Amino acid sequence: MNGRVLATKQVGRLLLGYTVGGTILALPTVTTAAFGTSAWWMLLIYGLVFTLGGWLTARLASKFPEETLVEFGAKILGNPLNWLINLFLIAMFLAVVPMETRLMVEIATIAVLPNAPSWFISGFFLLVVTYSIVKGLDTFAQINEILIIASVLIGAAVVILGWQNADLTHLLPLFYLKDFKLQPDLLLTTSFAFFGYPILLYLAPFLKEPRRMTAYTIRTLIFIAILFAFFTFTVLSVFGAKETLNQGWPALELAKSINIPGIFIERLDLVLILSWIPAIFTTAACSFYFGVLGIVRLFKIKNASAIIWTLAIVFFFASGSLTNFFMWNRITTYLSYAAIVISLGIPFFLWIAYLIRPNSKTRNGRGGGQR
Amino acid sequence: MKYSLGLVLIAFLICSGCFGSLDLDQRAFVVAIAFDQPEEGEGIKVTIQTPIPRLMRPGEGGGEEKPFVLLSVTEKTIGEAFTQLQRQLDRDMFIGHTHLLLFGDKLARKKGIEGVLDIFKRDFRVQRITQLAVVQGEASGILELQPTLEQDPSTFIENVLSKRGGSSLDVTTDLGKYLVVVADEGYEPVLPRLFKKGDSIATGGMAVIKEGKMVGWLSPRETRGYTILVNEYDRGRYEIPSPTIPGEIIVVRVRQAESRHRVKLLGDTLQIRTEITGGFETLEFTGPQGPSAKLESELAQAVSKEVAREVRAAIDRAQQLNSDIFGYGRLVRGLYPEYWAKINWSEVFPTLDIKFSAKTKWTQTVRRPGR
Repeated sequence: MNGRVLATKQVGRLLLGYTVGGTILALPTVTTAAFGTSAWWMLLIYGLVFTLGGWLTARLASKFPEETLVEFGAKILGNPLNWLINLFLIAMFLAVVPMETRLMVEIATIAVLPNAPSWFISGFFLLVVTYSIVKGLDTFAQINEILIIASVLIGAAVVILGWQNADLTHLLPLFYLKDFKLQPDLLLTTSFAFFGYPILLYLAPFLKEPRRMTAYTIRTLIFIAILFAFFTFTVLSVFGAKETLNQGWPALELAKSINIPGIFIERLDLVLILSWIPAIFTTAACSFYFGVLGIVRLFKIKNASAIIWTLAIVFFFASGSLTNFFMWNRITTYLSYAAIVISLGIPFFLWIAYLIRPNSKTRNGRGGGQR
Repeated sequence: MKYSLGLVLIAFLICSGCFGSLDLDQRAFVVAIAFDQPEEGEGIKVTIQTPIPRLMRPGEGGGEEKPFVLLSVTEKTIGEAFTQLQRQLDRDMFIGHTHLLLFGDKLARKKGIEGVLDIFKRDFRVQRITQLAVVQGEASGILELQPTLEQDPSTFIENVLSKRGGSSLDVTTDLGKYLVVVADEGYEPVLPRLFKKGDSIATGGMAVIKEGKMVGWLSPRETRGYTILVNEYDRGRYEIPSPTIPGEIIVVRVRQAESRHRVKLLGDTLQIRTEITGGFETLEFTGPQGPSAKLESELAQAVSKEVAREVRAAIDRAQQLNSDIFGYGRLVRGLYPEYWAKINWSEVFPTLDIKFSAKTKWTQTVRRPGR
């Protein structure tokens, strides 16, 4: 898991791979529940806030190009607090994996394999995820790069084809604040869609050019915000707010609403849905990888393979314990609370700690971390 | 490790056996379903149409035997009806390729179609592009007819309901569109009308739905007015009394027609104005004259008047049925949400003064100006 193996552009792809995952499939429903027809532009505002969080995170990580949070955190926070924060971060990364696995089961069952037992889908999915990360960051980053680009391109194709059914009057009223339901669970579940850039706290030592990390992070996060906003804009203009709220997976419904006259594949929607599965895969794999990386660094473990395979078994049973859609939603809400702390709270806290610590060596990032 | 992983992968693939998958020859593809009010007792009469594969092959059939089979049961729920229908089939009943859902008008008026559609909007196999229609009379009766141009009635109906007909005397509504409109506030759905005409199937007109139940019909000409107002007009022929020669009829084809709606709230008074613009060409003159420049302005006025007459008839009928099938309410809600919250649209719509103007132009080239 060591070595400067990643080109800077791969940081953007990793961020994209992690952030654009299963949550996008349900994002329009959650955001519309919170903001009504204003959901799409509110996502742009969310995007700005999280871009600021991403900028802070990337800036901080690039100050310590030789170290991960495990090492530089100890310098700016001291050991006990640093352990606590790292454990929290690792737990969050690892918690995402069974959630994505369960989501994979849900999508595969409703769309592609209605009669397949969930243990088979989750087992097979986890096997592939585990195998992809056990080979190391460079291999995984390459897999991620191919898959996420394919997913985003096909997703974009679905969105563009979905415009055949768009009706812009569905977007009215445009700025009606009385439609807003400012409930914490709705607001935070929306923010969970942007969770991803905290991986930067573990990424700097693996980059060929860590200094350029900030610029790529900002670009990627702005792209993600626009992607989410445009996707929600399309879903709202096709279905309207009320029908969007009735749907569990509006992204899949969007694919199902597409009709291309004359095309020989009658169930085109299944082809499109299948193509979106890699986005779930990249999120699960990224989360798994950086969770394990945190463990390896924090506990100074040399053989990561044993940890990875053990965790895969744990994830298998954990995903199986999420019995249905409602439980998945409930746990997602809990994770959203943790995600907002990690995405915005911890970077701000670390920055303040970094700024007020009167240690020039630490500020210049020359404290020397383990690699 | 590699070998053990390989073994696990192979085991997964072999043991899975494509869970629950069925070969094509083990499926009974339901292409159309009809729902009727039973003649006696409660419940819903459900009739499915499935093709007989051996009679669908080119060169086969052609005798007395119809290339499809109809099966009917009467049950309280659609789910139970499917269970009972499955008992009559030796293959798995598959509704993923169902193209057509037909409702008998008695059922549509008495029980409504919302309850019937519930199972279809929750089953992910069902396509959003499945077409819906109301049959004047018994819906299952339509499926018994053998059309001359197609192998089965469902394909025939699907074709005649599509815009290929080009008369604009009917509408097309699929499941996805219906769900979007029915979920919207201030907008009611319509479904195309089908009826038996001798031994064949005819279209024209539409059923008006309010709160999930059919409340009345619009005639074919009123339907054409409706398609202009909702911008779904394709093209259609109009018989216009000649403005210059008494008794002569000029047949014109209005090729495009577009409506622009303007909604204004002045105090508590709602002003709705629709501007219709369009272009036409002349097709036939029953009298001695042909197309001429001196006819241009008067013919344009006469065509506009005829278009306006049909549009007015559609508006009057919708107001009489108290069903806002044009979506004016949705516009009011979008533009004036505060006003919308104060009113009951069902009380406002029937007495609403909807003003409109229609202007058509002679836009097409003339092939033969002379007699």
